[in-house]
Amino acid sequence: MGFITKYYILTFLLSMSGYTTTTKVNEVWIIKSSSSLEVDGSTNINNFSCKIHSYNQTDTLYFSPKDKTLKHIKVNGKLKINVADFDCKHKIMTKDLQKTLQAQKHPYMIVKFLNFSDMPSSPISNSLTTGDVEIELAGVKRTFQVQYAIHKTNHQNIELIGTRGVNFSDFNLKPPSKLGGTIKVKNELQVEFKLQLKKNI
Amino acid sequence: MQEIFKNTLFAGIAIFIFSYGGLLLAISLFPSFFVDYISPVFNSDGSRDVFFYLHPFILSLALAVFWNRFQSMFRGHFVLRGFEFGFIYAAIALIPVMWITYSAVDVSLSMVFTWLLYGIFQSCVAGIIFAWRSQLKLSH
Repeated sequence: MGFITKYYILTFLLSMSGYTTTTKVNEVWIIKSSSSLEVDGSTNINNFSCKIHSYNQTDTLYFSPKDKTLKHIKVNGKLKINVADFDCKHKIMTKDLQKTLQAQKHPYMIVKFLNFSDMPSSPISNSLTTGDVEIELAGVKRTFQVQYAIHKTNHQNIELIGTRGVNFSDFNLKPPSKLGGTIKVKNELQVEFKLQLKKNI
Repeated sequence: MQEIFKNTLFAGIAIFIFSYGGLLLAISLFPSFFVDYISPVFNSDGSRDVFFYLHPFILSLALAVFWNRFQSMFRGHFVLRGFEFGFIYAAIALIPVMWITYSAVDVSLSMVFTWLLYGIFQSCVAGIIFAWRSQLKLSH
């Protein structure tokens, strides 16, 4: 196989993975399948916590080198979460959440990482960092700034815990209201994702 | 006919107050019981709330017609007549409806049982109002 053929195959593979050959990559981190996501909310009668216990697949985060003109580091990578995997520890509430999130029409929640204020490898253990993410839910995309806590387990593995308050209304969703409004789910939700990252050497 | 509409209005207002007052009280006293209502089986978007709040008047109209036709069969103190009326309605309408509801809809037995009690309570309230009004009419 000639050099040019190899070059075109490599270019094709990189473009298929959503990355272009012109983008410089400084660090590459693998999002491990053990990563999880939790959504906490409340109603006028109880609190609920709906969780995706395990991401069940791997994805990759590509960090560009830090640009001195920008305050942040550009990131390329996303999580594609199956809404049907949410578990609220209560069968009926789980079904209701999936109906509210329009799981049949929009089966995936997509969390696209846009930037970070630091490289995951650079902060000291148990430090805080921020970054922008674009969340697509029920067919609506919204960008949020997320604060992350970084826990380094060793040089190659870190846990990134991102938390952010969001509203049903941010995604043009109406929080469920039952029995003529006597039972109401509150608009506010707290989203926490725990990313288990492994550095790709 | 006028009597049916007057009975509908009086009983509808009474059922509205007692039913929704009781529902709000029950939600505040036994919140965990109502968690099962956060279910896709129940309308979520509020689009049918007006139907929900009109229910006391629809029920009262049906019971007023029933009362108008069979009131002569109920005898004794007006409270007793009201209860008897309520229980007869439960026996001929509520129990079969709840039976088919439990058999066909994904709801718990305890939930259906509370609907039965709720329905008996509502029909007894309507029965007492009807019997009280008919007693008032006779005394005049």
